[in-house]
Amino acid sequence: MSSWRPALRIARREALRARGRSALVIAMIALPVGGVVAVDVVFRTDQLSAEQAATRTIGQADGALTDSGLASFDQFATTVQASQQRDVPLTAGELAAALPPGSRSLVDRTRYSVPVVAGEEVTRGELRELAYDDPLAAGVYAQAEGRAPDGPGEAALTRAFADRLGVGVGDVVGLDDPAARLTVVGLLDGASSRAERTLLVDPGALASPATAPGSGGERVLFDLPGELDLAAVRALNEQGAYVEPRAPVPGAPSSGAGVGADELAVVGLVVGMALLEVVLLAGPAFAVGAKRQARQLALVTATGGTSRDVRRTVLGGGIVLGVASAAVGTVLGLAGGAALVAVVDRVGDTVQPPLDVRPLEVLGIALVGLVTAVLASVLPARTASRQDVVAALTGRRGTARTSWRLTGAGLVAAAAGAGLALLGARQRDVRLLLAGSVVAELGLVATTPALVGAAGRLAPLLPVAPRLALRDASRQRSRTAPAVAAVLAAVAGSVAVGTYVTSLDAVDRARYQPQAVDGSVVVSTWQPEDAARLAQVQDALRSSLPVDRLAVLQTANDPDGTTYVSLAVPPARRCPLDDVYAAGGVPTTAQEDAARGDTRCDGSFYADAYGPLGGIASSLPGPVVGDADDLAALDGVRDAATTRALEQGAAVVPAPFVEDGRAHLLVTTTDAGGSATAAREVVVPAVPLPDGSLPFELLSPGAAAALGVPLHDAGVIATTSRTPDGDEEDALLGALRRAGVDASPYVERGYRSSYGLGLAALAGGSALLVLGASGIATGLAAADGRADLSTLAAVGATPGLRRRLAALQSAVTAVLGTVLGVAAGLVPAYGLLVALNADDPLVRYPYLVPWALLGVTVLVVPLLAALAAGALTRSRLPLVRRPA
Amino acid sequence: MSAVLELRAVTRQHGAGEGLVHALRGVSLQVAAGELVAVMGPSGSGKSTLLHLAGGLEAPTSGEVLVEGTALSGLSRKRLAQVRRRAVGYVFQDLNLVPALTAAENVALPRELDGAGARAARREAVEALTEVGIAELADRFPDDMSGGQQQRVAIARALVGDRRLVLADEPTGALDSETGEAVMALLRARCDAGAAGVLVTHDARHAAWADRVVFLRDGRVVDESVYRSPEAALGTLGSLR
Repeated sequence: MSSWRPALRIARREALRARGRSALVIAMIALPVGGVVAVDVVFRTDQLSAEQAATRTIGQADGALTDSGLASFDQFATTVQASQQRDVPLTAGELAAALPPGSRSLVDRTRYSVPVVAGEEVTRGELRELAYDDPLAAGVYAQAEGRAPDGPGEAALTRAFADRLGVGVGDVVGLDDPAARLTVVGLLDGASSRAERTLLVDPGALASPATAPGSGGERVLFDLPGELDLAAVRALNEQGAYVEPRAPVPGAPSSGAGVGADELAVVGLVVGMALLEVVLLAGPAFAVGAKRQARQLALVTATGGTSRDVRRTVLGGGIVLGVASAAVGTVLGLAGGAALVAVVDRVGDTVQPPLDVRPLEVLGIALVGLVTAVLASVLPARTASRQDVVAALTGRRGTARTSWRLTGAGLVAAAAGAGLALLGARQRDVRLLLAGSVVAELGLVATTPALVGAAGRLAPLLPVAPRLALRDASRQRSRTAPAVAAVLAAVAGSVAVGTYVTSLDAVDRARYQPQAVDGSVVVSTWQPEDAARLAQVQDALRSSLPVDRLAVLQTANDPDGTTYVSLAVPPARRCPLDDVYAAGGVPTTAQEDAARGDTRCDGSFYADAYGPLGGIASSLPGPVVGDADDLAALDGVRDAATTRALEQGAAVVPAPFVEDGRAHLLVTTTDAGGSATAAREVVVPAVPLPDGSLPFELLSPGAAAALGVPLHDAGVIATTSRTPDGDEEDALLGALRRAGVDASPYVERGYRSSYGLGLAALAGGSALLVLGASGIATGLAAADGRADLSTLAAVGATPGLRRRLAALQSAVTAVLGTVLGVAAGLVPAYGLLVALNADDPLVRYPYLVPWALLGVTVLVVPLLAALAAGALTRSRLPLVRRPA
Repeated sequence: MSAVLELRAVTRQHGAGEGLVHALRGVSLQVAAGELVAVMGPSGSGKSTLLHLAGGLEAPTSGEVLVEGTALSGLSRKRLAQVRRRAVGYVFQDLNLVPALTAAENVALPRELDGAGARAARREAVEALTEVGIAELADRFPDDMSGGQQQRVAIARALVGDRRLVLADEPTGALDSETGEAVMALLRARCDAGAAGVLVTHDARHAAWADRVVFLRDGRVVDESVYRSPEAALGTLGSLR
């Protein structure tokens, strides 16, 4: 222990002397520590204890009873026998009666989405029958104003609901039952959400209960004289009541819910990689520190210190800075977490419970920060303890030699990891694939010193400034390699995820089917009550959108379901079995055998006709009736031949449906009782949709007349001069609601990627890491190379050279890291896609290169790193060397 | 004979107020082509400052420095750097060479910085290394060379191209006496071939290689003597101590 004291003393002094470097290390470790502590505080605070959660839902009750729908059962058993079903549900009274003598009970009925009237305003909310002022329900609501309702004619409202309705204490609200007029006597807040819209009345205060027994909205809160144990639950189960206990029932079999092994593996992976990143980023700072201390460390040896003492001195730096980082990070994290909880509580609707800080967890996170700093100083400490004392004392700067053992181990790990990942891809085992990728990546990280050294061999081919930068990077690889490795790891991760996501996005894009031409708006008026307001729909469209053209589309389908029109497969392509089925028969074995080799029976027809979705995408029912302008608005198709055909009474349908210039339509009619169904085929002239257009079905008025059934208004289509924005869509929705129309408008905006923001965040995050890592490497190189700069000045280097050198040093780190990272990222991503493609034969994930992400990563980010380093470097050369 | 380096009543102060140091007080000096001038004096007498001023690494507080007839005071930092690339060569006691460059690359550095092509610069560098007798070390890194070899490279670099002024600050300080003598002989030979040299040293034996010895004390020239004999030079130095 005694020999640690001088080591730690030197380390502490050195940390104070090299303030810039110390601050850099502390920032690198304290920020992640602080971030994780803050997340922990927010997560733990947000995560309600079982007790808190129970109080918010069932107050102080021991539990809640609901009807199980079964005569008798065991709620802990895994299987339920059908014979136990019971037809008549238990009422609240019957549930309460099932409780043992001496129990207290309280009825709780909730009906969702009930219209509540206040003056002109009608708003839907929950209607709840609960005497929330009963001690049993204490904690479910908090009285904010007034008092609890007492008997019929009185109600309490949550404040969010009262604000929405524009009422206060003393005002009157009505329910859909015109007789139910309730005076608001109190306002309250829900325990969980301030946005909750609930109207509360006493049980029995309404003419009829809010919900019927067995509807799921009725339960009974109870308080047993004794404890709610397994026997008590089983006794209640025997009477058909399901028990929602306040706390886990002692002795009951556990449901086994918990964190899955997969989730733990992913969390472990993310935490491990983050730790590796920090070690790699902080490592170079210690390496440079040890190098700058070389003379001092050699003096330690010269005065009788052993190599162990030297190692301890450098490790001591890790301990000193680690303790400082952990302390700073913990304080930042606790303050940040508390601030975040306060902000969430103020801004959000969720009521945040009191701050929950787990000292052990915070200590653990701080400890990880300390360990990170120590880990980052391990390799530099080893290197320093092996340095040539004489060389250090005479000021000769040694060159790092690559450890061939490390490189060899790295190559083996990279190969083995790639093999594992491949195996994982083959066996469709994503966990094996991930593990293999991580091993391969760690292997690559281990080979970075050798790779950086190899890159140095290109130096003689370059002009003087880049040659100096590259040579310096490769000779001082103790600081370059970790920074390159940090960039590699970050870029590999973002490229892997980016590639995978790009493929998912391509699949989504291919699956997306627009329902109209971009910018067109469709309002369905197929429901009779909306059809009656056709004029209002058109007015609403005209008043709120930049409308070019409005058209009412009709359909032969009947909203009450009695008539249904669909396209039939043309006879030549029809599977023979379908005809047998259509005639009500059963195919013979011979017919089935024949069908097996028949391409008409393999289902490929619909894929040909409609594409991957197997049908048309439209909010309008069935084939719609319209003209060439409507077709243009819906499908963007407008050509002379199609227009002429429509004028002459044809239908326009997907090409496979057209046979000899005709299409077969199936008209299915059902009588009002829904029992008898009749189908007949109508043949109309038809033209195919042009290649590449969306699958769509449009009948000209002439073709529709041939069906011989009445037409109904299907909806309104509006083409606009530009795609309406969100505000305009909201305005349209408001106008439709005011007109009493229930239908929601559909605005076609084309495919919108849901991954864009995530990809941008990913690219941004990895770009930040690349900038950080190359900035650190450059800063350290500059500090390391001050003496060289004055030599350069003496031989006549211009002031700009220092800037160029810094820019190029930054670029070397960034380019080496990103290029290696892209290679390391694409491989596992393609492996993952191979696994996915093997897994799901219906969806083919394309092997796409995310060019935008790669371009930004490989070109833009290194350029930025270089420019930033150049801009942040003073151009003045240190002309005269002065002894420090 | 025209002066390659001329200092006219040069004064240099460092710091201000209590910490004000007069490094040089009104020093005048001329060094002609083919001449090697030794500057001697105790520590803190202003020897190194004189060399820094001569190469434009520092600017005088007053007075004028001329290199090849060009006054340095009016020059921008860029033009000063150009002067160092084209007219002046430095040789320091240690840390002379850029460790990330080979011997040839170190020698070629001023030429490359001046925009010469890599191939031409290397040819000139190898020529310069041949002149100092270590052409075979062209592709070695400084860390793989002895101190004497490093100083030879530094001298080669100081003279590459058509530069005629060598400013040497204790060039033998880190070397054993035998190697030191060899380096001095090389410096002398370069001056005999037409270069002008300024040598800062506190070793009278090395001053013996010079044509003239200038003694500095507290920033002033206290004696200027044409070389007579090492013993006489030692005598003068002894009186200064």
